[in-house]
Amino acid sequence: MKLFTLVFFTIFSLSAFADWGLPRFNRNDNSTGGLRTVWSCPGNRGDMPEQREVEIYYDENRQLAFRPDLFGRSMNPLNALRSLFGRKKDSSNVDECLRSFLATIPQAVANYQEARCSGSSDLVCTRPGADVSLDAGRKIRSSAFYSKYRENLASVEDLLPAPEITERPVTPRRPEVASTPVNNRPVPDRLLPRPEDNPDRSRTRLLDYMVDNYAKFTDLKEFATHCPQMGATTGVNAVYCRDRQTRNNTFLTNLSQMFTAVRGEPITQERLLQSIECLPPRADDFSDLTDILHKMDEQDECGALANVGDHKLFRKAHGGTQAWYTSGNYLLKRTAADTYEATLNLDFTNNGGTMSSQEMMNKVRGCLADASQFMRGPNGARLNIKALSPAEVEAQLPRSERPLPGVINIVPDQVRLANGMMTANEINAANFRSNIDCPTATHEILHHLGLCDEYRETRTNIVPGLTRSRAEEWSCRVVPSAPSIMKNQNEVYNGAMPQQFSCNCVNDGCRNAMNGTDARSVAHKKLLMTSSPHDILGSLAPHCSNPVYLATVDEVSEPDKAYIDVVSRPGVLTFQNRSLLSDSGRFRISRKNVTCTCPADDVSCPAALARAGELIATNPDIKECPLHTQSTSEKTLAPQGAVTALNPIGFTFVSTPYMDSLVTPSQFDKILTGNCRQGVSELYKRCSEFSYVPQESSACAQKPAECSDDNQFLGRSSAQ
Amino acid sequence: MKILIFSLILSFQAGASTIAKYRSTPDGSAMQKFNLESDKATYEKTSNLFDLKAKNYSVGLHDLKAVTKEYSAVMKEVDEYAKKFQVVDEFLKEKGSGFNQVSGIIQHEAVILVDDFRVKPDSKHYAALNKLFQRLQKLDWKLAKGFQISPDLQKVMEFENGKPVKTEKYARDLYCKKAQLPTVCTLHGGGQIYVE
Repeated sequence: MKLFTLVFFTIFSLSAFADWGLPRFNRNDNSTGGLRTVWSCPGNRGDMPEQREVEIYYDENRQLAFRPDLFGRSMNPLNALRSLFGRKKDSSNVDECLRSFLATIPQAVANYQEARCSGSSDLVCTRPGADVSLDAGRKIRSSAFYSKYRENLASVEDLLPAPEITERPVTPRRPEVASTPVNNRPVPDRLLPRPEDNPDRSRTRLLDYMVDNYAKFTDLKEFATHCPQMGATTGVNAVYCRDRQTRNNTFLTNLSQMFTAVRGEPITQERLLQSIECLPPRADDFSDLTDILHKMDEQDECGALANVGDHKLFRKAHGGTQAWYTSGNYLLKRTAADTYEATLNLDFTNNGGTMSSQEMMNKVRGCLADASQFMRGPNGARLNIKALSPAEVEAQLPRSERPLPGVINIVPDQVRLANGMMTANEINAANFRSNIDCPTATHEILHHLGLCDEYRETRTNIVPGLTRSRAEEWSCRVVPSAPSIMKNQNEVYNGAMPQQFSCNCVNDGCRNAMNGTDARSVAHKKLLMTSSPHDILGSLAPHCSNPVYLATVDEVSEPDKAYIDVVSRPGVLTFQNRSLLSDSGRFRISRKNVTCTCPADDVSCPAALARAGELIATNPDIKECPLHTQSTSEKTLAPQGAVTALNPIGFTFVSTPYMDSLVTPSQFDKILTGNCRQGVSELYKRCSEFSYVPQESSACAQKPAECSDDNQFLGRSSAQ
Repeated sequence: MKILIFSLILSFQAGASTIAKYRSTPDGSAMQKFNLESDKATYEKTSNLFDLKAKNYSVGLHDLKAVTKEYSAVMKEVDEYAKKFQVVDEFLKEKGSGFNQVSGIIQHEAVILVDDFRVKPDSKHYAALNKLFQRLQKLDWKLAKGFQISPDLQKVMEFENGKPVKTEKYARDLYCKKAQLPTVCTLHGGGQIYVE
């Protein structure tokens, strides 16, 4: 029986390989291309090199394929090996063969495109040869052949693209934890796989690798000092130097690869050989690093979009803190004489959130569609902001127009702290909760378009202390006194587009006030719908001392005013605040005198406090559901004609717009011109560079004086 | 003589390190920092964000009650990390860069700081350092100077020399970000309290 099976399979296999003995060029009219490559594989066991050929094409799913299908998922690796090397099963030369194959592709593509591609939109006609080679490498990497002969493919490894992540982990990667004491860890001496494409992740890997191998830096110095002087080619010294050389070269190669990944450019063969072959490390072995860390993207981002249909692609700069914050990855197109379209590549990734990527994409698109109606620039120009997923970008945009993706995690609405407490998860440009509202989503999306925060912020840049280290704060930032979507998005949303949200009472005091029609109830409703002190003061609140409370009463003069006796002088603000206290099913009035005083060394505080004083004096409307109520609906663009309406258990609030646009003229122009020093936003850009700088730093002294002029900073003087 | 001086420098270096956890958000900065010396230690908290104990709405300066074997063991490991980071930083400084420059920009992630060196959550060293940080948190600390808000957000208590010296009404609508819970509150003079 065994013999029968053997014979059967042998016959079956041979018949299956009837087409296969050697790969043959075999045109198939269903293919979208017809690119033939010919290359030489070394012969086995001393045989002469043999020519091989294969057809490369892109299938109907725009995936690269080979004919014969050497690296198809269903192809038996042994069969593929036989195809490459005849019927002999020797895999020792497979790396050289594949290296030769991949190296041949770019030239073959160029020849093919020149001869056969006039006017064709086939991918083999439009993709650069290097990209086709990468696609081929990707195909090889995903094949069973690669899995089986991986160990024999060491020299091809650097020609293959980084492995693709087909499924994103739901939780962040857990760092590896060494169970051995830190100083006893084995020092890795092996070549690492190619670094990831993500420059930020590569940076961390680079740093981790250096920390793990910190002793090597001493080795390198010793080696550079001693080995060249030894000059021995034989004997103990030579053995010593060769051994050190091997270890150092591995280390250098790894560093070199990682530096290259951080820089975002492919590693050159020459560079690799340099690392592998050079004996002592040369003085400039790490000279790349300075470039890597300070390199600015050299893009042609400054050309004007003179004609309808013109576009430019902006890329986020990795060349320094300020450049990073003030840039973004997006495609800008002029879609009509006065209309522009900014397209973002947003990679929403569920990271424990309650919404799928598609649901979040739909929600953000809804927000942006509403917001785009109110994105108006100087001279009536309009801006539509569009969000695409990476797959949509790939499918809808040609390579030259594809913005790099920005990853946004969909995080849980609440997060459990180490102590078990639940708290609202933070929202920022890289993390969205499923309950994110449109004003906040738009503010965060505008970060992806290169706009910086403009609110007063006490956060520190590097290392804070309990005793506040003001030198570390981002106090140099320009904070306009006028509303701005990058400062107070809720206020601007309410001011530029009618916002609607609903709140229900959570106690009888509130419900009774809603139902009451007497003067007291009317006054209570007004107090309820006035912004709280924290809503207005924000980060200035810690400068206010514990208030002095007066007796709680039922009646006050000017009963519909939450703020009275507002007195503002430089650096000091005092006022009385009335708030509602639910007591036995009815509201009473709690009164407190508040005094806020700017610290002597906080130079930006007095202007911010003065602006807060002006706002407080107006008894401004709420921007969110107040105390005694609970939100029952998200903020949305109110239907035309909607007004604030009370009901027995709460109210629906509608804001009254008074602004022309969600963005200021300089913000609008900044999105259109990126970091190019031109246009209405020229000053705005110069001022934005100080958004993440401490007041006391020498850099802050360079901040233009005009930044403190709201009209100039926001571009209003030249636009209106 | 050289050996003596070298040993003195080494012992001095080994006797003083800091390990901190830090996160900045638009709501403010949360920081907890241990100043480790061979014979004493302090624990500075500007926020309860990284606390291991629930509903502890306090910030301030804490003293270590007693130097224990556990404390010394953790301190030794922190010192070892600090030494390695220093070597890498020196190498990078020669190249016109530095450890923190390569480490890159902090956005809103919680980072660990060993002395001044930032370790981001995607580093393989983060988890081990976080464990050291938590081992320090579990030691016996006493609030020497600071503030504590009552769980119902009605009162705020001030501490001096380990004892409460003043109790006042807490102005929730002035110091807390949102009317609804959970929220983030602050205090006169700073601090950041996460409230459930």
